[in-house]
Amino acid sequence: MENSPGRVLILISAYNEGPRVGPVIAAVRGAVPGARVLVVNDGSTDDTAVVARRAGATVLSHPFNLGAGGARQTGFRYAQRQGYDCVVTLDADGQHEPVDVPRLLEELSPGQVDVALGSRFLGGGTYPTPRLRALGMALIRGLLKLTTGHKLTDPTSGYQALGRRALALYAGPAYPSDYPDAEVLLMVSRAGLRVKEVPVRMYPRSGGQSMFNGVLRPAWYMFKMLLSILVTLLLRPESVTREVQ
Amino acid sequence: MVAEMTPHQQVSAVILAVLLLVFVVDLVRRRQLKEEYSWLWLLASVVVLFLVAWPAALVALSRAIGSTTEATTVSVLGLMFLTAVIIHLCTKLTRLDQQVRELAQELAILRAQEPEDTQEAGEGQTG
Repeated sequence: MENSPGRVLILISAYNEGPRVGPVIAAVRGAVPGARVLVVNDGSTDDTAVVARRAGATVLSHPFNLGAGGARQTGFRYAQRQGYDCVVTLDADGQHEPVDVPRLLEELSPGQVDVALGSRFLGGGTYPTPRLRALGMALIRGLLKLTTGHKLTDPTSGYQALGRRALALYAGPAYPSDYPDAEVLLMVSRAGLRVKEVPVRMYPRSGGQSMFNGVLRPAWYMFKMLLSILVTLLLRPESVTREVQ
Repeated sequence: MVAEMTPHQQVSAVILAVLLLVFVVDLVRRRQLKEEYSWLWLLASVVVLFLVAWPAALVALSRAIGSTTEATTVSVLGLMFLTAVIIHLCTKLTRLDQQVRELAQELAILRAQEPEDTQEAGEGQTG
């Protein structure tokens, strides 16, 4: 491989994704043959861990459910200890197209970028977005533009490639345990790391429950997101930058 | 206009304060409450006893904070005390939450180093 980004870990956090995680792992292994696949099983009560291991992934299992952020962070901490150079986070439900992983990694290899953010909206990408959710995303986008100066099209994207410095930040104590979205990008920017968006394909969920059904849950999500952006703004600068130095 | 505390009220207050004191001391003695948390509650009962023994202090305090009746002063003190205790507990809870999260993450990472056949015993289809 030219411009090899080093040792790559593909990180998939999964909570009760037994019926969906197997094909995702297979697709990832097909798309990025050189990479190890790590599944963090976040206290699933189904056969997620068994299915993932049979599909060829390394599996870390939490004794109970920690939430999306806590689960991803277990993977970051593992990757850091095992000395990986890059981590790519991917959803377990097949929303993220694994074929795009090498394009994210390409952005990291020259060392110009710390976080390559997969965007479903950049480059003419279309994605069915309900009106309420589109409104929420516009709000988050505007807030991030205001606080970081960066124009990001898909600030809630969980499809990211991280270099070593970003990995150190994500493995640190400031990383949220519930929804690691916009405030993490704010944290990244405040820590002086560089983000670049890359167009990727995303698909609507292939089944199961999205956390964005109904009206109350998205409203609660928006409230927590605004609060955590505010809290991240109030964090003392050294508590954000300490990890990456 | 300051009303004196009636003997009836004094007896009730003393009984409540002593009950609280005995209850808290007993919890500590049986190791169901850490000393760390007990002192706040002991302080509360001591304050009640102190105010019964020396009502002038309550009157003076009421004047100082501008409340027109002693009952208001006692309510405000009680609410402030409870608010402080709850905030204290919330900060403890936050720290415990963080510690539990790190333990779970650490456990998951360590368990991955065991041989594979023992791993599956602790995961999946347990619910």
